[in-house]
Amino acid sequence: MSIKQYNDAGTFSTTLSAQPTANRTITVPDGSGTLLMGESIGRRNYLINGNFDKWDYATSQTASAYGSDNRWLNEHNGSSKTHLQVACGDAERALFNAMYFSRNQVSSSSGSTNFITKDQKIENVNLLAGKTVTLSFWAKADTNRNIAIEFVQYFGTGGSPSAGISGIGSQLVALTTTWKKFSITVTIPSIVGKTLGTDGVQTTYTALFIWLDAGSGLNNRTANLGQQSGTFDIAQVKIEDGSVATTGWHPYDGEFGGEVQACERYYEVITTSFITSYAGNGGNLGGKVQFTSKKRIAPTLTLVTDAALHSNVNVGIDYQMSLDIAGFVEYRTMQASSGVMQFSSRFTASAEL
Amino acid sequence: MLNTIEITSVKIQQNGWLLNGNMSVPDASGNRERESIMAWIADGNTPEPEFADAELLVQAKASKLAEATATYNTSVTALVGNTDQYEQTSWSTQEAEARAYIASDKVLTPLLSGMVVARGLSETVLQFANLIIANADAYRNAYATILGTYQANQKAISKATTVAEVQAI
Repeated sequence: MSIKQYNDAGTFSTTLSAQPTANRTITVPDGSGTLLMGESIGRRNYLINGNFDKWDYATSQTASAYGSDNRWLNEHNGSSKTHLQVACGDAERALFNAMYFSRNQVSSSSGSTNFITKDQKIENVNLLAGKTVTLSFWAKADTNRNIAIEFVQYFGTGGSPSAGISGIGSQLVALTTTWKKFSITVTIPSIVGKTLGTDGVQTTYTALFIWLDAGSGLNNRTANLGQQSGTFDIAQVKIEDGSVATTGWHPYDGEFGGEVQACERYYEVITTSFITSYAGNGGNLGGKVQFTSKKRIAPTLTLVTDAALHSNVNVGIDYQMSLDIAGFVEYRTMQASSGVMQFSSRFTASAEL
Repeated sequence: MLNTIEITSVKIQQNGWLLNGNMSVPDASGNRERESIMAWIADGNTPEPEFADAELLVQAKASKLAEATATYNTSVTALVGNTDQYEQTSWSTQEAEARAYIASDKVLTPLLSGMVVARGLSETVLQFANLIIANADAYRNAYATILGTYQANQKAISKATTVAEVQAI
């Protein structure tokens, strides 16, 4: 591995074989994956699950919501779609190494505000503000089709935050029927002069929108993309500092576990199980349920299933006690005067942006 | 910006809301679903109360029934004292032999006769039989009151149609 050193003017000066000792910027002009000195090895991609490794919600969705690939909001209005996980085969492996890619089967319906998007909100608007970043991804379509990309800044909730800014870097991307890697460099506006919401930086974000279908009322955000039905495949989406898209894939914090933990800050599936040999009628059984990762904010808790619910347990539930970013208290009430009291539950906790 | 959560129902729940029947949404700023609920309320909608009258009635009945059961259990425990379950199991045999012996002293009373010998209190089988019958009658009268009261409370709780009626029991 070579390490190339550039001076402050960006001019190549030398190839290093040792750690640089002065204030230097090391870049990777040829996209070869050369190590970028001075930054964390893992944290190259501002997106989480850009490689579509985690699908904790489901492997497909038709709803307009977070509903399949972690961290990705697959939205629509008016038009409809099926978004699904597709396993990579040799055709993909010959080009890039990934387990899955994202496929959107779009059925467009005419309407000025109708749309289909795939977007991800990057928490903390400060992270990308004022930076030149490069978005890269692999993509193809069922026939030659355009999509559009757009960045959005949102300044949070609480108080009187500045209005969000949309249409940043909006441009069309021409897909073909074969996989092709696209690289788009965008300068994200500075937030000098902006007022952030008082609810905390965790309510602010920079968002990447990938537009697949957009009515005319959205032309200013979508570079006049227009409406279309079709199938769109996207893989290995990255947003990284600078004007060069690196070729390697680096999970969050350098390890796949880091990518998993990053996802779980926003969404987690929790299974609980409690049992006691005896509880009097009206007695309670339960306890504190700790999230694997602390959440961005107190999450929305959804009871998915009551598995192995013992007959002595009251089906009426109380599980929202002490719900915060770290966990919650779940308890149930005994229905019979004696016997085993047991229940298992499955929840999801969502703190998505 | 874009927020397309479909809201079918909102109900107040502890420190937040129950959204669409199964989502507990905390009153936490920046929560995506909370923002949707705020917008929904701003549109003129009103969340349902945390508990409907029918739910409050169910809760009051469950609470009162638990109270009645606890009272019943406490009273029965006080009545039987420290008598263990094996002795309690023998009560019906003791009473049957005692009543049979009072009716005819020719009848065999293996349990009572054995107990009289073992107790060594210089009592006759007749005296012991009369003591057992007195105790059995006293127990039956006391338990009848406890059980009858418990059953009356159960029926009253079941028949109540308002929280006030339940609380008056």
